[in-house]
Amino acid sequence: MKRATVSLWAGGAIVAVILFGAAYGLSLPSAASIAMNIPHRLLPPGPGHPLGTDQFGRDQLTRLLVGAEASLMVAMVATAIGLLFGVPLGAVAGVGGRWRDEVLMRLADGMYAFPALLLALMVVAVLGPGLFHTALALGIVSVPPFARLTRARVLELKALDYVEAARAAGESESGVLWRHLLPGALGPLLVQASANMGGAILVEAALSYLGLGVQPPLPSWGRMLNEAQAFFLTSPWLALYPGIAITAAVLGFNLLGDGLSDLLDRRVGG
Amino acid sequence: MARFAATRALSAALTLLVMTAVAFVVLQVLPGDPAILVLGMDADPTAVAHLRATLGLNQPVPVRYGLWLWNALHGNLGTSLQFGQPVAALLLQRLPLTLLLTAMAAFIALVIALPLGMAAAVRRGGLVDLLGVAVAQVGAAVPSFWLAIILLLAFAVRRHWLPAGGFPGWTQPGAVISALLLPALALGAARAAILTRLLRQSVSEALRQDFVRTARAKGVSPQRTLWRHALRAAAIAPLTVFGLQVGELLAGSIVVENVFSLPGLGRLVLYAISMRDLPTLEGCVLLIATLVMTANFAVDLLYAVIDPRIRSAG
Repeated sequence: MKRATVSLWAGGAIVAVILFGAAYGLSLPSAASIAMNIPHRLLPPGPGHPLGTDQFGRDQLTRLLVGAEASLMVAMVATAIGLLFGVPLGAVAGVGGRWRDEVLMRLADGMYAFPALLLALMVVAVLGPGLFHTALALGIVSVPPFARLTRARVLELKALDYVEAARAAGESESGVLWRHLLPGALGPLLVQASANMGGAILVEAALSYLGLGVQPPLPSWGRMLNEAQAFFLTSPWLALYPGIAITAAVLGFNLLGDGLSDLLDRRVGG
Repeated sequence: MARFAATRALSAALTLLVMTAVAFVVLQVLPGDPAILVLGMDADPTAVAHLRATLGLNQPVPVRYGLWLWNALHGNLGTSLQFGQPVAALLLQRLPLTLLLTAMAAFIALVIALPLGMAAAVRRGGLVDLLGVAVAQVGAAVPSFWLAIILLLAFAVRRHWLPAGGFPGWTQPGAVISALLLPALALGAARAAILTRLLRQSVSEALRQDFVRTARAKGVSPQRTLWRHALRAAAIAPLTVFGLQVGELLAGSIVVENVFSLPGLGRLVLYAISMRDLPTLEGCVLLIATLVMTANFAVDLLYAVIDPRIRSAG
C-alpha cells in the first residue's frame, strides 16, 4: 500500500517537473536553442551556462528544455494515435463475432511481435525522418497493445452479471459498450497510456540518436547524445545530461503507471 | 507433448506469416512506389523503369507478396542494391556476431536478475528488496545506447580495459569476447531490470503457496525450497517475457552495434535504411522476425518442460 503511494507521488513529481520544463522551453524564443555562438563553444558547466555549451556554443540547459518538448510531443501524439485506433479495434474484437476477433487479434499479435524499435525504424525508413513521422511511426507501434488491453477488458466485463442485466433490460449493443464496457476499461487504459509514454520516449530517443528521428537544428535528447559522441574526450558532460533527462522522463512515466496500477488494484480489491 | 508442440509450431508460423504481411505492407505498399523511394523523387524515368523491372514492381501487390514469400522460403531474398551480392549471403555473414551479442546480453541479464530477483523476493520489504526495486526501475528507464556511451567512456576511453569498438574477426575468440563485453552489458542491463522485477513478483507469490509450505514442513531445506520448488512454479511469467526480450535484444543491437561499430545485423539494418537498399532491409526484417518467432516457440516448449500441466492441456 505504501509503495503504491511512493510510486504515484515520485512518478507524478518527475512528470510534473518535465512538463514544467517543457512548458518553460516553449516560452523561450525559438532562436535561443538554435542560434550559434561559436566563441562560447564547448564551455564546461559554470556560471551563465549551468550545464555547459555544445560544439556550436549553444546553451545545453536551453536545448534540454526545448528537447523535452520534442520528446513529450512525439510521445503524446503516439499515445493518442494508439488510443484512438487501438481502443475501437479492441472493442470491435471483444464484442464482435469469433471471426472478427480472430482476424483482428492475429493482426495485432503479428504487429506486436515486432520489436517496437524495428517497426518504428521500418516506418521511418519509408516515410522519411522528422518529428511528425516519428510520432506517426510510434503511434502505429502503440496500436496493438491498446487493442489487446481493450479486448481483454471487454471480454472480462462482458461475462459479468451487471452487463448481462443491462442487456436483458433491453439496452442496445452500442449502449452496453459505451455505458458499461468501455468505462470499465478506462483505468487499465490510463495505466497503459502512462507506460506507453515512457516506452515512446525511449524509442524516440533511439531513433533520434540514429539520426532518423527529430532533425537538426531542432534539439532532441537522442540527437544531442549523437552529437555529443564526437566530443566525448574533451567534453564528456555533453553526453551526460541528455541521458539523465531521458532516464528521468521514462522513469517518471513508468512510476506513474505503476502507482496508478496499484491504486486501481486496491480499488478493485476493495 | 507432440500435439502440444505441433499446435504451438502452427501458431508461431501463423504469427510469422502475419509479420511478413505487416513488413511487406510497410516497406512495399506504404511508400507508394518503392522504386521512387530508392532512387529519389527526381530520378531519371528510365532508371526508375529499370529498377521497377529488376524489383518486379510491375506486378500487382498480392502477386509480389506471394512471390517474395515463395522466394524467401527457398532462401532467395533477392540481390542487394548496394553490395550487388545476394541478400541471404550478406545476412549469413553478419548473423553470427549479432547472435553471440544477443546471447551474451541475455546471459548477463540472467546472471544479474536471477540472484537479485530471488533475494528481493525472499526478503520482501528489506534493504535488498528496496535496492532490487530501485535498480529495476532505473535500469528499465536507461536507454541502452546511452549506457553504451557511458560504459565506452568509462572502461574503454578513460581506462583502456576493453576495446572501444570494432571487431577483431572470428580468428581470436578471446578478443571477440572482450570486444562484445561492453555492448552486451549495455544491451543486457535493461533486460536484467525487467526480469528482476518479474522474478521478484512471481517468486514471492509462489513462496506464499501451499506446496511451498508443504515442502518446508517436510523438512526440505530453505535453499532447496526456493530454487527447486518456488522458482520452478514462478518461472512461467519471467520466461514469457524472456521470449519477448529476444526481440528487444535484437532491436537493441541495431543501436548498440552502431555505438561500438560492430559489423552485425543491426548495423546492416541501419546501412540498408540510409542507403535505401530495400531488398537488404526486407531481408533483415524477415530474418529478425523469424528469430523472434523461433525464440517464442522455444519458450513455449520450455513451458511444457517446466509445467507438466501445460503438456496435457495441449
